[in-house]
Amino acid sequence: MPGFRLNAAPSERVTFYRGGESRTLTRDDINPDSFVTSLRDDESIIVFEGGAYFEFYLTSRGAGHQQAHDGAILSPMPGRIIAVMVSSGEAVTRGQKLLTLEAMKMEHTLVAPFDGTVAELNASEGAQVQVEALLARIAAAD
Amino acid sequence: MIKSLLIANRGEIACRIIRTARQMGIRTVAVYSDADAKALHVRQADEAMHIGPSPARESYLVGEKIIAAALATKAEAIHPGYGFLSENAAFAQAVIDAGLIWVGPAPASITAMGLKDAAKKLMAAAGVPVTPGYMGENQEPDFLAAEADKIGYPVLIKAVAGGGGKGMRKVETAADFADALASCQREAASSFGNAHVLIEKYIQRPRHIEVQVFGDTHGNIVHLFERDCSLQRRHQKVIEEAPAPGMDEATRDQLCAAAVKAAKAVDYVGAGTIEFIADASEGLRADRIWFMEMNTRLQVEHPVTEEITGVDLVEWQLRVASGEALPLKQEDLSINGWAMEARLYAEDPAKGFLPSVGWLDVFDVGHPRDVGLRFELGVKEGDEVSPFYDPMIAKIIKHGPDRNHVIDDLTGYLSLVEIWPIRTNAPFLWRMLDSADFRRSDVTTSFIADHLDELEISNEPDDTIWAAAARAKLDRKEGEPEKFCPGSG
Repeated sequence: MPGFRLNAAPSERVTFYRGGESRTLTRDDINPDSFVTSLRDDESIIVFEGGAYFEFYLTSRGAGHQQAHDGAILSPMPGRIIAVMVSSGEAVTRGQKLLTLEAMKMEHTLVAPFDGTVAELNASEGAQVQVEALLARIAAAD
Repeated sequence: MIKSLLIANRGEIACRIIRTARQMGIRTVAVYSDADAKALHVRQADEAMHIGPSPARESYLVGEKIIAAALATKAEAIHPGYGFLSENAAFAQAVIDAGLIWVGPAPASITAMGLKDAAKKLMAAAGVPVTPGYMGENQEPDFLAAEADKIGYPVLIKAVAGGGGKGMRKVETAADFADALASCQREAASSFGNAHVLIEKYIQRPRHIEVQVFGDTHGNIVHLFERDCSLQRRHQKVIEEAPAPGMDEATRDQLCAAAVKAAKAVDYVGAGTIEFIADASEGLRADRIWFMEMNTRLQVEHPVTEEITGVDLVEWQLRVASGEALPLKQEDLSINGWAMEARLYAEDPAKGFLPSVGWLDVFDVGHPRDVGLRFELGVKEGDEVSPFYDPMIAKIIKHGPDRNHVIDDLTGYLSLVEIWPIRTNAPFLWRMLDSADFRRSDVTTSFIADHLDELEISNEPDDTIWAAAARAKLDRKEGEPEKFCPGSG
């Protein structure tokens, strides 16, 4: 990484965590002419850029949600399950439609990430689900 | 003139109607569901009434509750906004039967235009050009598949009672037809309570052009020129502009004349929009523009028309509903400059545009007077975006001397909005506006799908953004405000 110096004074360097990644930056990495708005508290820095935002955590503890386990089908949003196309134990192929969720008047279909079998199914038609609820788990085919 | 008005809607359109009503000295009444108890439209209205649980079908879609709220608050009139009950003829009739004024067209006009198949037949009979397709009672999957074969792929399946991009599917091949039909019918049944669909030809280089029309109870009907709403994602409009790029005077005259003819065919009163589809493979030509449908209500994108004509369409609606004649005649109306609207959605463009819900801890969209923009906001900082309703939280409108100026200003502005932790489509919007093809007006309704690579959004920071975060941390001084702007002095 450009400008990375282990011997920088503690007040002159910062370590950020994002998901599984961490980076230590020093004053030498900063462009003093950059113009970016940021928000901060004791645990994080939020940088606004191009109409979007980016969060950086100061401890690994706050580094965002744990990554979904392979094969875990999580609800991407709060909503209602309107169709379940598979049953528990069924063999599925990559891209196969598993279930359809409805929120904000739109339908979103969740598909199998790889070939395998439906090892777990916690979804029934008509059920309301919260964001990141585990709806199904696909066990990879050997 | 009416003295009081109940707004049977929520979000930015309720706030927008309240603003004009207040300028006209009309008392305003808001209605709200559980989720909207503290919503902006409730705070802005003179009075507000609770009408039920959060799901729209238990609150904003329950006509009896809305009429009861109007009677209880002694509101004289009901403005439906767009969506919800705005194109529900039975509701319009119930409002009238309750002795209230309906701010909209006669229920018979809504019925005539509401079912798209009947509307097309009516328009064809009135001499307005329509696209090829099947519109009929037979809803058997095998029969519809055969009709699709006859029309020729690709085809579009549309909910007969649909609108706003909901209940619509494009089908590329016969093999995909059955799945698409089932999904479309299910969405149509749940969104509109009517599973009937129609099939029509999918036009290859289509542009969505629509004409604003306005009628009064004295038999006058005028048009307020066209809008181009070609920039759509999954049939949902995201950028609208007026006038339409590449429209010459002769084509505009023919198109607008056809729109007025369509409105006259249903004795139209109030604000309405005639939507056309244009085959733009050889530019805009009057003989390649066909009637699609009529929206018998105010449109989401009405502000661009207001900006180029100087007319307040909500004011006209309220005047017409009060029995007044249209304030201007056709010869008094003209186009001044260019206007564009960007729809800000609470959704994450880096994650397949999934809805983003929660609290708007930061909602810094600047002050409209500072940047010469018009904002139609449904939320303010600190408000909640709930999962129950449409994810559009604001519209940003820019009027200017010409198209290039408008694009420059809107692009620059959208790249500066600061919203957190809700994700929005702001980074996607300005990239679209800034794309070379959009700037040279090379747009069709498949523009977004065709430019997905160029428009790809990532939530992963690049090195510059890591460095910006480091600067924010290392340059921190004791006692500084939480919000920090390096370089702003």
